[in-house]
Amino acid sequence: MTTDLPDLARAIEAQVMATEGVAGLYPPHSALRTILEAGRARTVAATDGEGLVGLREEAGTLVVHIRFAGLSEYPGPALVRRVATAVRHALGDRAEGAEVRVQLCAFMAGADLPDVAGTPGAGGVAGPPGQD
Amino acid sequence: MSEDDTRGVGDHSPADDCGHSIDELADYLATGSSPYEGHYRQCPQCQSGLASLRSLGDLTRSLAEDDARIAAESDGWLQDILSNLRLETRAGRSIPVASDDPDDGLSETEGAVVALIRRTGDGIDGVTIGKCRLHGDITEPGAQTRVELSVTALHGYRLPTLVDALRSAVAEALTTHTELDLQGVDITVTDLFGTDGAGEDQP
Amino acid sequence: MPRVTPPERNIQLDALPDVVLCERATDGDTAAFEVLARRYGPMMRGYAVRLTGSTADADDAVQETLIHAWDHLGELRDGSVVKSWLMRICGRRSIDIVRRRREHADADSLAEVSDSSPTPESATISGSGLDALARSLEALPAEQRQCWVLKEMGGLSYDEIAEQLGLTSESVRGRLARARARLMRDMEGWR
Repeated sequence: MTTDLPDLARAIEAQVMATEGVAGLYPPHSALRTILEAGRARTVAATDGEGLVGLREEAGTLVVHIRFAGLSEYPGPALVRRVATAVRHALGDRAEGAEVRVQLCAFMAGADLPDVAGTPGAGGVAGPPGQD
Repeated sequence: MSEDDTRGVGDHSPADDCGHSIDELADYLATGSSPYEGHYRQCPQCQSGLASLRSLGDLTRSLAEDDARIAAESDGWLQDILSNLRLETRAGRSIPVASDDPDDGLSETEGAVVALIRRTGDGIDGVTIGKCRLHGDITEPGAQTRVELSVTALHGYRLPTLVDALRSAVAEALTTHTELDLQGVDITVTDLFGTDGAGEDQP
Repeated sequence: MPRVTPPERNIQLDALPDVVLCERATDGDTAAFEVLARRYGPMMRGYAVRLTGSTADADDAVQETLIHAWDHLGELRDGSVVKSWLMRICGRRSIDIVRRRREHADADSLAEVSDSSPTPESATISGSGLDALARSLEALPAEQRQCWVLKEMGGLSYDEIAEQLGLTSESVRGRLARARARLMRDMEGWR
């Protein structure tokens, strides 16, 4: 039952990233604190190897945690609801009873999407190229 | 050091004729006062000791400046941490967003809204936002909220016009992007930028 | 690997005074914090190199300082003192790192960590009084050097140094006196 969680997390990530108005996902944990724990000064790309979707099972209940950046052209509340819908869509038949937590952590203007982390696959808040 | 004194200054000790140690002189330099100020002023040995202490202090500070200059020349060491910082958000409180599903917990962070307001304000010609705060019980749905802004205005712009433009832009951003019940935007112009001395200036 | 081109507003932020940058950084403006980090980072790093005697440790100290500052900037009531606030944190972190490293070395019964190894930077200052002072500082016992750097570069009082190093005010005074005597002797030719 829990073995497919990473796959499910990837599916959710793809679904959320494909949602119109979503600029990117934030790592579930602070990048700064991650490098603090790593200790050495030259720790780069703290998000390496870490998924951007928080997904766990608590007493049989699936809990999904999304922190994302939205484009400011899209009204925030409606965008948050769209992301929650996208998550439930990705969950499919496991959506029933699941707890979906979605938080909008930043509004980005289309023009100033920061090109952070820059590590392919590691994600970070890097907007989909060419999206306006 | 006077030229005829061949001993090291560090040897300037109470055993010396004038009886004032280099450490005592250092204390005097650190605190700026001593009951023996009168003596220091006219004692060549003390004068020489004070001069040595000052030049060592100056040299130490020059070394610090030099260290900083060298560090600034190659700031790759700073890049790593700054690139991680760009991923950082200051969440603040959680502003609820109404949801269709009772099992959902939807929200926007206070930090996101504050950053949005700041960018909106910065987008107005002549304005740079300083402090930006949301007042009200914003963790409750539809909370009555006031926005407090401090603003640095560029000299040469008409303040009432700036303030009006800022107020309506911020109000629009907040009502578009949150479900808060906006009660007002309170703006304080704290500085006029580009004036002589950048004095405090209240509207 | 794509790198960040600074957003346009960074240029404008550079001109802002510390107070405004602090307000904005407190509210979560990372770009404003970045300007502060660039403004005072080099100074902190130089300070940390002198305190720790190692560039790698200095990097760690500055990194920890900036992260601490990001987390606690809101507690700073007066943004105009941010420079000395940062330097103070940086001094504390540097001392902590040296202490941690030493404890670690003791626990592992490794050879004593040399904290007077010449830093790469010192090689670049040559033929000057600065070079002589750098070498003389590096040759001091760690605690003497730390006392001296905290006082003369960090501007700390005896009591503040004592608190940071976990010493009594009197032993700080003693160490400073020894450091001073040694440095003055070494630097005699440079006055």
